[in-house]
Amino acid sequence: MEADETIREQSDYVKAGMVSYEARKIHKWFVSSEGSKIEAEIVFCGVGVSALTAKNGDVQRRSLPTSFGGNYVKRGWEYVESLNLVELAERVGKEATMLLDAKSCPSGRTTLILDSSQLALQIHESCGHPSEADRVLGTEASYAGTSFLTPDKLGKLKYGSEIVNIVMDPSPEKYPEALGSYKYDDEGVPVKRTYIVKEGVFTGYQLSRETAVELGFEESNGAMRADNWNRIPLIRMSLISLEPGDWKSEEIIEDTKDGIYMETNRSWSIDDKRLNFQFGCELAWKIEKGEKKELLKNPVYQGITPEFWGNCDAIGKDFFIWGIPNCGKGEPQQIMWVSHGASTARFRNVMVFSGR
Amino acid sequence: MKELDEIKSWIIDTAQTVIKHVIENGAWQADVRIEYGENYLTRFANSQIHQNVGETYTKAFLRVFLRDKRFGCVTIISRDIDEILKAADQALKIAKASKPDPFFKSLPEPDRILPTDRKMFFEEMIRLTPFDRAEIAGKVIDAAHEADKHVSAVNGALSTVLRLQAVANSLGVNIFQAYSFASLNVLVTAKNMQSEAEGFAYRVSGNLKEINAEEVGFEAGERASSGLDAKKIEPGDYEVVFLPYATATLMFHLAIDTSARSKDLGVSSLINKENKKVLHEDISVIDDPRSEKTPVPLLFDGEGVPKKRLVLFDHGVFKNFVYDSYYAGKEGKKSTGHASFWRHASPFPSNLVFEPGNSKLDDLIEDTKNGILVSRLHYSNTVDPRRGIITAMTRAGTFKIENGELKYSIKNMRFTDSYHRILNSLSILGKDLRSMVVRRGFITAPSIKVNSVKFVGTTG
Repeated sequence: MEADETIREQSDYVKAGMVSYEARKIHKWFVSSEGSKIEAEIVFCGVGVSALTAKNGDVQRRSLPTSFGGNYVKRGWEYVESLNLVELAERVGKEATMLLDAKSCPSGRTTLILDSSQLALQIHESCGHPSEADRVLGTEASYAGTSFLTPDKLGKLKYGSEIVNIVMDPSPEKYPEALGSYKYDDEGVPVKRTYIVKEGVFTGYQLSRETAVELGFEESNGAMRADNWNRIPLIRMSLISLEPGDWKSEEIIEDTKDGIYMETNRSWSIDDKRLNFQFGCELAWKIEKGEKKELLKNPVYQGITPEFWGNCDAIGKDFFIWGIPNCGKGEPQQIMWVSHGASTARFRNVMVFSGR
Repeated sequence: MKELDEIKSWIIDTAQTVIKHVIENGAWQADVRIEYGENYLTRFANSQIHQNVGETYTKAFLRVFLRDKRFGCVTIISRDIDEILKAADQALKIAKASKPDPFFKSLPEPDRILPTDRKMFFEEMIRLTPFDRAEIAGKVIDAAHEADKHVSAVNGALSTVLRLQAVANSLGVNIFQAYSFASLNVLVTAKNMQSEAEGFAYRVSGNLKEINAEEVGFEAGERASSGLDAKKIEPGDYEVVFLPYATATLMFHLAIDTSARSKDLGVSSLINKENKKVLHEDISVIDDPRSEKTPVPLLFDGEGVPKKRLVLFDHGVFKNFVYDSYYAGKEGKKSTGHASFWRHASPFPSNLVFEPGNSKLDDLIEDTKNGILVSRLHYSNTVDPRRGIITAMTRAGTFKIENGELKYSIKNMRFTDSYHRILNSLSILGKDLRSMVVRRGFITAPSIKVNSVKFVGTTG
């Protein structure tokens, strides 16, 4: 409540302040006729603050630690206590107010730097979903769509530049607090670390027992998950990450002569094969000669997945795992909690414009 | 039916028990919705059934308000009265831990529910077996394949839904409704040596017998095969013919902006636009749960307020936001009967109808010199809410129109544009209405021809 009040205190232009908190405890038993007996207790929570400001027909939003409900981790209330919510609340109120007077993002092809939270969603939409083997094989065609990562491209398609390595690795031993980490999937299969993209080449899928056989793999890598006891499992993301690079995030900016840096997702849309995408962010900075020069509002960028990732030329080492609690898929729809690790990264020759 | 009668009595009695319990334990006002539901889904992909699922559930959403306007709510899925009452106690605890909400005025008082002549509940839907649904799926698949030899895969889902709903509150609201509906969505893939294409068709109806499975399968199959050998065209500003499935997506974004919540948050593009001409003068949109044009009539909203015909746009003039009791109280108005069943303070239209015109689809195409026919929109999202700017991809049947004729299939394209601007460039209204279930309600829309949509990209 203190955070909520703090948001509203930041300016007269604050129309709404939102503080969201969610906590879940799930006790799961899985038993199969093949002898599996698996019991798991899952605890996670998510928290975020957001400010909506309005002035002269313009509305701006600012959210931290990220948008749409905040960040989610496999921890309890101690996670909330570890964040200084009041400080975040002050920041979102101030920044949402500043955005009202900012210039709109310019249009054109430029160098784009994304913060790790936005990049997490990029990974989710343009790599996570198209590498779900059930989408590839057509069983989700009528709803969410299919995939451009068809089997003939496995091991051949240049998905991204050589520095791009995207891995499915939900190991709870390595990443115990990652929202999407688990030991066994909902077919009783132990999860296996799998490269989806290795040195830029498309190399792997997220599999189930059935799709593994159909696609010629020896075994499933444990990607079948159901969001509740009353749903059949589908292939769902777990922890899919872009492996970190060598750059400090500030070095990427310092190394950029001219470009745009975007932060925190505001809108997203991608086609049914996961090729053409458009993302809007909450704020951006014009970068000139290695410095953040000017705050920009309503930034949007567009691209085609392999072209976009093919133009990735710098990945930071500020690796952070973001928890997304609400990935939708299937009929009837299931809502799954997943996570993505990402760092600040730079992409050349990207179309940006103002969504206004 | 005897079992359903027993369930009906149970949910009505339980709703009363819950209200009595929370009032006796300190609530000033309270309301509860209890729903018994049955959902059955037969899903098919690659021309065979791959999922066949069904469920029954009982769900309750309860809100309690203390005299000083502190408030708490809970949702529970359970048929156990003790568990539901425990959840009610939780709602009270949450209320006691909350801050007062000065904007809450009162829950609604009972009001007369207008009856409907339309049948809301079809018993034959309850008796459908998985084999019956499989037979219907088989008809769809066969018809799609018969549409053209290039059809390679038929995908989709047949869903049947049954709802028994009771709403009660501490001011005397105590009402019940039951309804059922079926929906069929079909997406067909066609292939030839050099390309692949999709075609889509959809039906929803309160009465499954009104859904012609073969017709739907054939429509999707024909559309898919027509989409082969798609060419890439340059992005730009084009005339567009939107089929009803696509128009419904535009309507969904319009619907978001008519919510009093969107207005209150400052994110609606219709703020300060009441009684002003916002759209083309030929556009009239109503929310009318009793209209013959909407698939399923509904009698009341999530707070038990009677649902009535409400004009949202009258010949382009924006007339009304939709309210629940919370936002109505905040503005000193009356609820328009649009409270959500499962969310607090989130009013939304439930039975939108975009009044049709008199023109056939062929007339819309003939009127187009250089344009695009869009069958369906995919993954639409808001980009700038105050200006009504949305983005979406076309999908499952996108064609180039030149000099009044469909010329060839084109690769899917993205537009990012204001739906106000798009709808203000309306040229012709079709008479071919189709309904869809779109997230939170039913939307019924015709084909429309508009003179300008800004396409910003194509798929790879």
